[in-house]
Amino acid sequence: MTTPLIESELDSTGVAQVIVILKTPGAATSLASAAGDKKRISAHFRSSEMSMNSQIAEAGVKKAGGFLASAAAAKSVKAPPPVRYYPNLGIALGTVDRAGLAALEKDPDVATVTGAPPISPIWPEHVAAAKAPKDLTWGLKALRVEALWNAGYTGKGVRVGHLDTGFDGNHPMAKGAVLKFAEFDLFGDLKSPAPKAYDTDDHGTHSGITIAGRAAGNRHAGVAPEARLLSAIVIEGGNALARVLGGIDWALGEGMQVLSMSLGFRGWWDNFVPIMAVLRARNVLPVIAVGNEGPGTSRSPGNYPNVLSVGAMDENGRVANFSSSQSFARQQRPNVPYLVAPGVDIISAKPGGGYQSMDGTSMATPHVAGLAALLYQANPNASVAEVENAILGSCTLRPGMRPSRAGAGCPDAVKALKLLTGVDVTAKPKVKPKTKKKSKKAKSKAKAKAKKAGAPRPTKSARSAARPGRKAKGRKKRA
Amino acid sequence: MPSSRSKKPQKAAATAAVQAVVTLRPESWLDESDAKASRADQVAQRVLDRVRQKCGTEPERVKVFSNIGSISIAAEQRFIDQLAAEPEVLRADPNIQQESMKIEPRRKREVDFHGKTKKR
Repeated sequence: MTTPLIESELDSTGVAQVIVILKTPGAATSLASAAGDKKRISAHFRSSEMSMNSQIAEAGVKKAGGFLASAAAAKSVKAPPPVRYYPNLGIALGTVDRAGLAALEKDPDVATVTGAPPISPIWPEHVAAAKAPKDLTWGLKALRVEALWNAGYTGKGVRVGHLDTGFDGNHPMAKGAVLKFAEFDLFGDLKSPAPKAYDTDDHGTHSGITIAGRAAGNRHAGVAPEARLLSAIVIEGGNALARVLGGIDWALGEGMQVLSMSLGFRGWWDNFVPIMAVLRARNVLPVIAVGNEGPGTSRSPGNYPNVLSVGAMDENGRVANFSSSQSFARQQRPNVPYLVAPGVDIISAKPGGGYQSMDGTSMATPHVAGLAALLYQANPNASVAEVENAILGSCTLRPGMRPSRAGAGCPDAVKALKLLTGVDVTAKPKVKPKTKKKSKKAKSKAKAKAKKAGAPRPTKSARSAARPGRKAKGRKKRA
Repeated sequence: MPSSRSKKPQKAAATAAVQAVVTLRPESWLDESDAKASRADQVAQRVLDRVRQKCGTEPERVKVFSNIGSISIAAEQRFIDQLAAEPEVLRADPNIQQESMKIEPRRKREVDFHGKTKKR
């Protein structure tokens, strides 16, 4: 009894590939070894042009119409055996014609004869390059910045002033992070020509990468990986006020929107008060570290009412012991800091390559500066007060955090974006219902119906436009 | 309660140059509706010219921070004192400070990206 597959092959080519399942597994072995029985079974099979052609095709020889292209080509290819035995499986595989098939089905050692369809791979429905999951520092995870990245908010187009010990522009995470680099002498004059971005210490590289570090492979340490730094050396090598002012003046002139300063004088120094006021008047958000001297202390300008004063928290949501905090006798924002951000065990870049872990409000500050950069990208026209309020409004006090030590608590990038723009990056997109594609039969039915209804036949150009890629069949020129 | 410790530039010999940073009153030069910094330059030059006339001396070196309305100046103490007394000037501070503004990290260690301390 033939199967539809075998019948179809016999009808079209006169032969069919079959799998013969033998009655006992041993039979295949004995058939393979016993000359008599093997000869009897093998006689039912025949050499087939199909198997020949597949050999020829493998040899790279063209074939015409599925048959041998030339005698020469046929001679160059070794003829395959008409039947192959698989003793361990108890089967034989080969090509038969109708007579051979009938003989096999009657053979006492044959249990079943079945068709041998061509095996094809199960092609995947969709192919995409494998993406390694992103490897983020704990600080980035705590702020939930990845959700903003996935929605396209990476700080692109935003300039962040970064005034510190410098910045190693050669670090793998620094590639493309620096828009401009400057160095100032003790008088506040810009050194010319400007050197390539380098660090006189390691503090600046660490803080700068936390603001705008690029991915190194799948590793991420930067909050705003597409923001651009206006980075300058303003400290170390001489404690000159003019250097810092020179840096602020320069970065402002270069269009900074956020100033990140992990710097400050211990205690209260009001010399920066008018400078910070100018920055806010120019719509620049100053994000300043509060200090590392613990409760009852703070540093200027990080303790001013007109800056975003940042303290440090650890991975467990606790305010770091060293994080400064202080109360002032003033009506506006009497208690500093105003918020806390990841500042303990913060991994960032080390000058020369590699990574360092550092603890400090200097590490917390660039997290907030980077967050501000993400928000400014989302709304470039936002005022400094709007961005600041969005950041502070997104903060939550973790269990055990006291406002006197933590301010409003730790910010949340997702909440801050929603407060500023109304965009909720965690909302699931609406799924469009699938439209059913018309089958060929349905299309021709619709065509026939239209014709019957007297609809005009589309013009040739309209028909061509509807089937892009198909070459128009032109009339052959008569000789 | 912490108090403002705005220090005047250190008094030295009358003719020795003193380095100071002078801050202009924002209301004298800042127009919040106009981002251009040219008014700070103009105000700074006007004030410096006035003090030159009053003191009869020239400063050794001047750098105007046009965008933030500050001046870095090296001049005789008398010049600095006169400059600080001008109505457009908010304050004058010594340029060289006793301490660095750098906030030293509390702990620092070389690690791999996952926080494992690197063996030297």
